Amino acid sequence: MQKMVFYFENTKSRTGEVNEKATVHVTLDQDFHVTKFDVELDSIPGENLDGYEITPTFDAMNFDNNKTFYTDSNGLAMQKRVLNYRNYYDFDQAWSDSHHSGHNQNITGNYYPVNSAMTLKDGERQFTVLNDRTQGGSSLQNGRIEFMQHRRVPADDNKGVAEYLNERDTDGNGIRVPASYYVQLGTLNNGSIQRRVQSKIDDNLQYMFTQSIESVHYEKTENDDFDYSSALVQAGVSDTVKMITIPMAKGKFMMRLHNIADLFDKDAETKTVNKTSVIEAMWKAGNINN
Amino acid sequence: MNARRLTWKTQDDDTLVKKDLDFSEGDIVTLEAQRIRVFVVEF
Repeated sequence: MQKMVFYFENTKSRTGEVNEKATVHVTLDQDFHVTKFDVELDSIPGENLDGYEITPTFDAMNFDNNKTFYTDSNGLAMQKRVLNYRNYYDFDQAWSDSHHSGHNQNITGNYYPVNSAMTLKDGERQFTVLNDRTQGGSSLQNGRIEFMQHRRVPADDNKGVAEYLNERDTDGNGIRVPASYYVQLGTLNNGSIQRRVQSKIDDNLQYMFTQSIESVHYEKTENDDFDYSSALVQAGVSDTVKMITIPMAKGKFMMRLHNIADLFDKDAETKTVNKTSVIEAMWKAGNINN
Repeated sequence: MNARRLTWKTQDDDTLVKKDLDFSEGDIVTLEAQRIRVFVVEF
């Protein structure tokens, strides 16, 4: 693990001794060939009326994405975005700013909602950054991906909300926003692992602990060796197949099967699931001690 | 009523593999990339 600390200039923390800072932990993911950046932000200073916007930026060197980037939409499909361009209206006119001559809000206008990932392509190379929450994001320079991690504007920006963007904690200090990013730089031929990483971020393995299982009254049954996870994998619920079950009524539930593979990727595969085997596995798992 | 039903298609609908939506005959569910299939299970 690598750890980097960035200090904000000319600011003091709540104790007045140390500058407010951003701490970045860099780790390699255990399951996928991606690098994880945990960015822990201290409170943004509230002194400057113009406010601050903190954007972690990720640069791929010598990378020409031809002013084109792709942002994820609802975790379902990648949408093509082109810098300073809309095919359905005149970008320069729509985003013109009469208060600032010669400036067409080309940062604001190029920010898009990013639900899980943003990616750039240069020939056969692909540069992807996944986030762990929905954020605004853009690619304002070639080879660069940036996300809006946190903003603080302690004054009205006269955009109509008539409210400061000034979120504070119970002590009155600006809130702190930690976020994680997963970076992949590879070739299209190697296949994308974006959706698999997204699945890991969204549905991370849950750890549960107990103090002493021996003290719990437990009678061994013939189903004890049954492995629910393996049974589901065997039925086809694995890799890019995501299953969600929602109870609807007594003796009735909804089963939603979703292949999260993206047609945007070269290696998007069709999957098959044996739904009867899935339901049988559920039944067996639910009746282990009966 | 049918005429007023909301319909939509995604930009890459034509690239999806079309399959018969009736699965009553078999156990196997085919899931193309980006495909979501929802079932109600009663027991």
